Amino acid sequence: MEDNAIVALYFARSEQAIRETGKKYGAYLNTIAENILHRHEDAEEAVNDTYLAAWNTIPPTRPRVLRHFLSRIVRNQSFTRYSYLTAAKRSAETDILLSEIEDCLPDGRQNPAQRMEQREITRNINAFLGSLSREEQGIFAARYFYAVPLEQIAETYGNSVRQIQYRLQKMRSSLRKRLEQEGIAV
Amino acid sequence: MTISEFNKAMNGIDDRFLSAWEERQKKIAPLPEGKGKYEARPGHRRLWVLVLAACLVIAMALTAYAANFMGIREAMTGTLKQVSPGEAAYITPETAAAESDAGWSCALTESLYTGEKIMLSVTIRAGEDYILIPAYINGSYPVGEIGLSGNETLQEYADRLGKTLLKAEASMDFTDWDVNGQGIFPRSNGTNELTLILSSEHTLRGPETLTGTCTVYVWPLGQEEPTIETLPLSLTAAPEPEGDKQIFHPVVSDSVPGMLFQDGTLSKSLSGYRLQLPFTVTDKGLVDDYLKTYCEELDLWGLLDKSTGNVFYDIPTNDFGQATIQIRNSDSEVVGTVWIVEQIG
Repeated sequence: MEDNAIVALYFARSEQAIRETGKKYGAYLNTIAENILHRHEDAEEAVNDTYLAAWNTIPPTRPRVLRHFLSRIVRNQSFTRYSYLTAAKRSAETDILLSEIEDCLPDGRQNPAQRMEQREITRNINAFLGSLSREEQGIFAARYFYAVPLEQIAETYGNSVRQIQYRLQKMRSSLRKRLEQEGIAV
Repeated sequence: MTISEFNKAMNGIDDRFLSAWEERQKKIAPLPEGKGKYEARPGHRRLWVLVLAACLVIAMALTAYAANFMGIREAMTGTLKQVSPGEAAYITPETAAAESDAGWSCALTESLYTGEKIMLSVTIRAGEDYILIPAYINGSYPVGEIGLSGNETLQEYADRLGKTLLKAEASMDFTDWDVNGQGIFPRSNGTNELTLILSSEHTLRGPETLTGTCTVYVWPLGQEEPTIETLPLSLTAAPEPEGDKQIFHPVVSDSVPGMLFQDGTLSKSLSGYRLQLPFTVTDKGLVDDYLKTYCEELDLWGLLDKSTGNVFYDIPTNDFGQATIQIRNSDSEVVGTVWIVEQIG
């Protein structure tokens, strides 16, 4: 079913909307959730929460690209769920991903008053991504939006894992510089 | 800023950046089996390029050292991957070279195969109209990335001189050696010469000889498809260092939950000594979360290699008779310790 038709079902408050969403995007959303949570049961719950969130959000929201709209929700649900998992249930892979992110964060703890509004941070990340090549944009989004394992990114781009790690490290360092220059809580 | 704030901010990134990853996945999906990222050059062009390359192989091989190409030692000096004197003795000059019809040439200059580690230096040269840059950077990076001083970006610098930015990358492949995770380290020598050091390491010794190729990819910034040259490679492992192996016995073999340790060995390696402590997994559920090891007496972090069932330590000396090795989990908490003592006689 076309995305427009699915969105129309949401607007008509037809539960068929959730079934059609699951049919078309279930596997895609599950992959994102599993990339972050690494546990099938948790991923399944995150995806179910995503359907519920979509149901509660559309309408009034009319997603421009349904796939991306849903991927944002499932990513959010998964990271939220991940933060509540006990240490024993956490995944080493996601912990590594989160520790990578720490590299590019200016330390906000020292100057909490300087914390910028979320949208300002997003604007800066978008501007930074806009300055990258298409390939680098894809690598960054794969790792830090979709939480794709390094091995899979390496295979997709025909690079070694080490090369991808190095490229990500360079990007994180550039992003950090940019955020600092923009005065985001150094 | 916190990780959570960053994660939320990432949720707002433009759709076009999300598409960059999705497009790429779609792009590689329909390729027929056996075809990689890069397309092969048309056959009729390949023939005359091969003839030209063959002539140049001889010419470049003869002049590689005279032309003062950068080698492994020089490129890695001062880095964490610096070659030890023991390893440096087995660095071998290489002579394979090729010239592309796209205005660049490449030459293998040196190789090192210790049995556990491969390092390879390949130098790429381009004409005066080009500025060679490593593949992972682009025109918005500062000129400092290729060792120049100043505040210009690479693109501004290239535009000012009327030159083209040329990206370069290389990889190696062997039939009997898994190169997954190979490293690449770039060193610029001026604007139109770039040396790439490729490296790959395994924890256990590989075959005595290896046959393979080094493939060099070069393309102008902004273009998708690279021009490719493939250089043949044949490596012979450095001999294993001689000397008696010291045996270390775990005092309590099951002191770490989920693991059972056997006798370990400390043997001479090209960079000092290597401690290898084998183990079997008795509880996979527990061991899955174990990540690294630390030895307090030696103040060294070791490798917990679950794929081969060994703990490895590369140690500068062998003047110790016992050691306590901590096993740590992904939160860096100590989950158990194993005390090993040298067996005399």
